[in-house]
Amino acid sequence: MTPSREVVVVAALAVGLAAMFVLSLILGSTSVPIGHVVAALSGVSDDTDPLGVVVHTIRLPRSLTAMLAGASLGIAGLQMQTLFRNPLADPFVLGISSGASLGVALVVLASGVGAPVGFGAALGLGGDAAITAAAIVGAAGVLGLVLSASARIGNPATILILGLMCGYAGSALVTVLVAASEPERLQQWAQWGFGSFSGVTWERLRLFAPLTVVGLLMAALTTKQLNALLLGETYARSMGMPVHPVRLITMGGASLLAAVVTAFCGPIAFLGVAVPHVCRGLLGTSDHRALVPAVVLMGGVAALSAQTLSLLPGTTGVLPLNAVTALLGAPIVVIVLLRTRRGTLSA
Amino acid sequence: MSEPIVRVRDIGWVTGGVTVLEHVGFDVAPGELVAIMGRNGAGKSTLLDIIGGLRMPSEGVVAIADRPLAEWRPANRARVVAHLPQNLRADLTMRAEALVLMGRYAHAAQWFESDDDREVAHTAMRRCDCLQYRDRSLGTLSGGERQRVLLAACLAQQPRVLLLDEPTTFLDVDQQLHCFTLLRDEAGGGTACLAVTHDINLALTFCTRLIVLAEHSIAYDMLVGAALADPSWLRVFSDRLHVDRGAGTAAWVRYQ
Repeated sequence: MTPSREVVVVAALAVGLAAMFVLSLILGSTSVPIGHVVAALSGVSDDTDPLGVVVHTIRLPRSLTAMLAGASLGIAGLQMQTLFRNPLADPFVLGISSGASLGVALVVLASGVGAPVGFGAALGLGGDAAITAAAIVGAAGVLGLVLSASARIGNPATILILGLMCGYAGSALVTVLVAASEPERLQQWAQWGFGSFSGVTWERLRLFAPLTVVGLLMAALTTKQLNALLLGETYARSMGMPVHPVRLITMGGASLLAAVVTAFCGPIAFLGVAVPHVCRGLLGTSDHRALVPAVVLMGGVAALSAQTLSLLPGTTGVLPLNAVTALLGAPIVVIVLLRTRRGTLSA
Repeated sequence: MSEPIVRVRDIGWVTGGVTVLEHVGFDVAPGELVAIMGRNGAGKSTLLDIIGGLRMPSEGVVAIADRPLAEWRPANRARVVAHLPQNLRADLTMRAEALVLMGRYAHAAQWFESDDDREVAHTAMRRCDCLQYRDRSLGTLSGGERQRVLLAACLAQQPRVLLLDEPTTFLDVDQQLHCFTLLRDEAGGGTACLAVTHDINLALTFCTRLIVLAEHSIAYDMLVGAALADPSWLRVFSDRLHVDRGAGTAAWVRYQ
């Protein structure tokens, strides 16, 4: 039996992810020979090898963060697109990320704990926890509003508009906070807004990784239910699915993922909406049992690629991550969509 | 006649202050093929949704196998009751076979279906004359082809109660006959089938019993023989319908 298209695509993405991961450790302001990378990965290199130290203390946590963040944003976008049966849905459209941003802004701009991102910011885990908690509270606040409305409003489009309004309101409040802030805080805030995977050290990764993995597992466990939801909540119910618990788990998981990534890496907009579409195009199906693993892998590939390119390998310059994801990603998404059959756009 | 599997007791449905159904009650036994008929807006689909557990009635109780619907866990209910919806989004990028396999969700505990599940799905698709579309994407199928795939998904649930909301929509005449023949076979195998339909002649030809909804409730509930003997129920639909008894042919309703 020849392997199905799904298996081929997922396997290719896995190989691509492994390759991008190694490449992201090699490339940077100075490129590290592969031998040093392998040594650092296998724990053979000691502290006397400066290149090994670079790989181990800077690039390895950064690349792990990028993989997890890309996977998280892709999955959160996929969940939102399926749940709302809207190809444009993602955590940003629902206002969840704005809620998270508002939470972070309150902590960073108003209380002055310090910027969550920035090489100089010597923040302990306490500061991280405060910012993460604020992001999750902000996201959960918006989510709670949207969920309580969705219990009364059956129409998904109305719920989306409600989410959009929450997003605008959240952004407006952030603007007010920004206007009232001191210049150096603004600088930090602006930098956070560019998005970056570099601020997550090994220590922070200890908080970041488990939270994202929990969110990803929540998505993995509801794969079949997401498939049933593709045909609408009524059909899912007639297939024997408990719709309300699944809706809660899905929205809760998506907002956990979006909030955690926003808290640690800044508002990274593009990946959530783009990665699921690319995967649907490559797989030629909306079956979540193929889509979920593909989105996890493709999210990692996309985030690692963007991360590596934003460092402008060989130079000391750095581009804002958000600029790279959208500038390079948008044409790719357009090409994939144009090359695949009609119907791909459906969530 | 065997014990009823569906018991509908004093069902009412009110939406936005408008009464759609009130005091609706009847039983359906295994092996019956019941046509649910009525004018537009008579509440046929609503009634079917309520029996399928997809809507909570404003009043009354539906019991399946002597157990009120509210007490069924969704997955358990889906192993007994299948529902063919009236319309479903059409633009899905999903293989037809994958949709039919969804009918096995309530049966299959694992992530992926077993060979048995696949076999059940394929048998259902063969019976609905749609196995040839198994690898086609739903978005590329015609309305009638998709309708047959959806019916196969219902059969794959292996239900004891089969609810169908206008199953012959989009079907060509041959496929309409095929569909109702299939339903008669299902009923013959002991499934209780309830089909909403507007086609009086299909109902008279294939069904065992007619339930006609009018004025928020059941206006007529009769076996097909009785319906042909006393055609007064046709007035619910139109004054221009007459039972025609040609020599040596089955009774037929013609238009005037």
